[in-house]
Amino acid sequence: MTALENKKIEAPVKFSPEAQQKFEKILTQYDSKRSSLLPVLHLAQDEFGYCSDAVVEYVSQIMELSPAQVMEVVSFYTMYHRKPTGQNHFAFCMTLSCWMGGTHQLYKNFCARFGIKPGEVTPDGKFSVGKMECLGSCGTAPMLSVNETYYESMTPEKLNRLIESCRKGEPEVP
Amino acid sequence: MAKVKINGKDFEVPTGQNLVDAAENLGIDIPHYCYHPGLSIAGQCRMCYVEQPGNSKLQIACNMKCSDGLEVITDSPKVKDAVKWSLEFHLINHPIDCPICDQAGECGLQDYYMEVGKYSSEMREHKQIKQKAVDLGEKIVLDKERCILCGRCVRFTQEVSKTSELGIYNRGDRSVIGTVNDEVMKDNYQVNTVDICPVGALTSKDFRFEQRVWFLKEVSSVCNGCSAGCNVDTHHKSGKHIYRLKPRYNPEVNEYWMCDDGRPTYKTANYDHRLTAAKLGGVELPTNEAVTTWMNDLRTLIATERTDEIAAWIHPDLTSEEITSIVKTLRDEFGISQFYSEDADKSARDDKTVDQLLKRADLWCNTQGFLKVTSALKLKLGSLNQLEERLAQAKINHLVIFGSEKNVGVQSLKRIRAALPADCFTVLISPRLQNAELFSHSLAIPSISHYEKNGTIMNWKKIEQKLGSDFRMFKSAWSVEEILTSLSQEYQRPQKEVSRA
Amino acid sequence: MIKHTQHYKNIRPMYVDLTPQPGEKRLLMEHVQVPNIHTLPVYESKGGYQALKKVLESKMDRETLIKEVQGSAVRGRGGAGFPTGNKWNFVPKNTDKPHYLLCNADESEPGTFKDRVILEHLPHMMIEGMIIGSYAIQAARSYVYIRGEYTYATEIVDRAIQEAYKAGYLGKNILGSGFDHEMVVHRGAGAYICGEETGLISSLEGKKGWPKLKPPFPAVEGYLRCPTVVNNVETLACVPWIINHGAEAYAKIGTPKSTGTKMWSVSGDVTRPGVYEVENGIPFKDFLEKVCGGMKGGRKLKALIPGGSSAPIMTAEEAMSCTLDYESIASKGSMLGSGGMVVLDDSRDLVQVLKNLAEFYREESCGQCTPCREGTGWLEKILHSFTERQARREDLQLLKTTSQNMIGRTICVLADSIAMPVLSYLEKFPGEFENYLQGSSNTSSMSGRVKHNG
Repeated sequence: MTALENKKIEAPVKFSPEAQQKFEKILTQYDSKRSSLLPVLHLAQDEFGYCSDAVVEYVSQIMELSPAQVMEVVSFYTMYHRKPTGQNHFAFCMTLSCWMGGTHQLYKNFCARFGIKPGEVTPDGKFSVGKMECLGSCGTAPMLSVNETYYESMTPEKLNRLIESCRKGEPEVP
Repeated sequence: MAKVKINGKDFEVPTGQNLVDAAENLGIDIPHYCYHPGLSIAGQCRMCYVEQPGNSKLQIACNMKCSDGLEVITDSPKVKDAVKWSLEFHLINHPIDCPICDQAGECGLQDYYMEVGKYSSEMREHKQIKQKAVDLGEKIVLDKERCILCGRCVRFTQEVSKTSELGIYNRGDRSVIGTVNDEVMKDNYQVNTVDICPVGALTSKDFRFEQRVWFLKEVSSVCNGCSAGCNVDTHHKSGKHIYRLKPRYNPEVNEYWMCDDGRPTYKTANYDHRLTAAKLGGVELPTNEAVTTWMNDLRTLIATERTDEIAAWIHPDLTSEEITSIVKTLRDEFGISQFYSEDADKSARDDKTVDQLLKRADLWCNTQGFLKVTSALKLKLGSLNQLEERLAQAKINHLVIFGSEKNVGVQSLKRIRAALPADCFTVLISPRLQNAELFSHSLAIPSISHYEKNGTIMNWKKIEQKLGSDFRMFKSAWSVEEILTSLSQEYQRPQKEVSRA
Repeated sequence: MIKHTQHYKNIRPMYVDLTPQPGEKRLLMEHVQVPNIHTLPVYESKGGYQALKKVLESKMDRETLIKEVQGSAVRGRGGAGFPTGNKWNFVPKNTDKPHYLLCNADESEPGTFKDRVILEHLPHMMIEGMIIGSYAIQAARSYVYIRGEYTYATEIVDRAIQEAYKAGYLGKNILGSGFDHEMVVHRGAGAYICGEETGLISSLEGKKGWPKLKPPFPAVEGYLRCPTVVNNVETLACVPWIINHGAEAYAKIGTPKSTGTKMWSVSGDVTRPGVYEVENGIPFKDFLEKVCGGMKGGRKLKALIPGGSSAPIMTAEEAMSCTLDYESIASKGSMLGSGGMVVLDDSRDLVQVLKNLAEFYREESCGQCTPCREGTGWLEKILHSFTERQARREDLQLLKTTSQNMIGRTICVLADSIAMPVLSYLEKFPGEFENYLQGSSNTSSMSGRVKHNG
């Protein structure tokens, strides 16, 4: 961290003191600074909501990488969002067992109901949707993930209940 | 050395040499896109297949180093079929806009299609759509659809120019090359990515839509942008117009690269910058008549032993042969003793690298050669200040100016012009039109530009390099040696043959 | 986005019922139903960390330890099936570079969810195996590369590692052996290709998950160009049992070439989808009937995908006549792979299934090398034409030649993972494709294709 202290970080965003502490702890866990890029991006996304251009610029400075090197990683992995997501991001698993269990229909109905596609957010900011590949829950297909929490063995009724609870601001516990 | 067998024949190659390079040196072409000897190995394009006896799986040649006992086959039907299919995979999403693509004629896809392809594509699906004609700044245009994702440009910015401005984003067949949010590229070595791009994805704005490459010829030369002396190939059409410079491999000087500042140096050779005819007081005349006119004034001064009223101005962009010719003719033959020049000592002293790569602070291309030749010929040189002084004291009646074609010499010429008395006979020998305009009242004799020269220059490391041009752009523009030889011949001609006053 | 951490207090692991079924043989999952088995005290009370103590307190010779694992003939449970002991043995013994052990918990193969049970219920078993493995290959640091979507499992494993540190099983001079070891949980961020050995290494280095060229092999030059071993979660979880009971005892279970047990994650058209551990070599027929409760709704078996979507498909006859071990399944032209079994009944349209798989592989191809990047996209587009009834007869041959020219031509085996299934579907279920050709509105090869949202 000493080398960075001398270098001025100029970016529109900055870590809070808690996040800064977590960042410094992450750096100690690896034998190369660049190895901590994925955890740092997770931290930045948790802190700032999504990986905007400003966040990419900030991370590239604190990680001493070029913005292109950080953007390559952000664009490669599905969990880093380049655009803001809704308060409740519904990600439907679309592969094999879940697809056989009917997630395509659940997904289509969800999109039709809210009039959104992947990458879009509802006007009230509450919902966004995404398509995911196999999430490792095939035995409890069909399933989806809301804000990285798995909701398994879904039915249209369960999905409706989940949507309502999210709308009220208290997503139900799976 | 290692003993290897390629296609059944035995060869001896340097141990550890990359197989693709070794084969190329032996005249065996192994198709490849992503491999480049100046960059790290990627193994992404999957074109350089070779077969190893005993191994049913094909191997890629770029990941193999030559060692004793290595045996490969590059021309079996299995290999040829695999390469053909690899090419098919490259082409299924390629837009194939050869009619509007600069790369046509030197395109890796075209070349290998003619060599190993020539099939009817079975791709009937819609192709991937990506951005075309993305403006990456002043120098480069990117076409993301044409890109075959060999990754050479990305590795270049990571390993050579060390800016890491380029990256490959997204996954799968949505992958694209580019800068972050298509912002402009900033480094001074960008155009090298255009050279190494095997297809028309990265193209140079300077060359864009200017000329089809099959009309161009190449001659070898050395860049005159600074004292680095990067080796280049000059690409010209019929010797009439130069269209671009490309770096040429030299392991001791510039490896495979050159900086962007050196690339436009050919422009001063082309028509709009050139003095294309000799002029006297703004009126055109044939070059040989101009030489005669020059000799007339010179002769008078030589005959009346007033050679101390003659001065010459030279500069470190002249080749070593040009300087030798100037000294032998003007000093040794005609007895001129006053020579002034740019401060080459200071240029050499202050010379250093500007960017830890190639470009150097000394913007003259032959400083070391200049110092070497002038010292060997024991030429005494005065400074610009001293010349200005003597001009102001009206002690010079005949001034010969060798003017550089580059901007770096303009300041000195302006000072000389300002100090020049109205009645001093001035001869300007330069390729540059602007210089002639500065000395519009003088006798101006057009000389050839740097990229038409044959001669030797010496870079900062004191490596001697040859300029090997074989074309002349304007009949009336002569080399310095030719002008001085003609001058000397004119001097030796018996007086009664002189027809003009 | 509402932060998910507020859920951790209340959410529970995967809903599958882990009650032992007749026909199972549980070595790893023996205590999986014990409440709080994921915590250290309960795990220790059931014999946990005995293997580690056995190895470290006696300062067991590393050669002996590796030979023990080799003697058990346990094979990599992630999909490749490479003998684990041999992999450990490849690591050079005397280098000045640090060594690393990486646990591949990036379970993304469609149909596979068995590592999740270990991560959520038996993290200490995996940790114990990792420490023993790290000791064997002289690794001072190990990383659990866990897929980013498994947020709950990440939390569980993280807590387990903290418990292990507190108990002195991690850190400096573990159990007085002089062996120091640090273990870190590293979250992935959503990429199937990071489950590939060198893709995982690239991702851990902070880059895109692009697989690396081999040679050099990871055991010699892997993470940060140092000797690295990458093992699957289940493989590492087998290690404590092997140490506790001996290699011979392990090798006696299963078949001579497929020793021990395997955890199978079963989904699709069965009555009881879930995770089951059975001895290698039991007939699939028995597995289906006894362990999984037979076909759902009494329907007939049409096809079986035995080892995750990368495994070529098996017909019902082939499945019913095979036993669940590497050799038998390989003899039917498929592979045991990760053990992600997907059972398909006679209501399933196999061309649609194949198209769904092709979408997966196209989405997950990293894009590094040309045959895979372009080939996965091409295969998906052709299969899309089939399902839209726009395919030509020539497309059957085109699917075949395209797939054949992707196999063995790429840096990693993702291309093989779609190409081999495509070939198997074409070979074993040609009738399914015929159905789509007969209803095809595209009779001329020059007619336009349905627009595809590439």
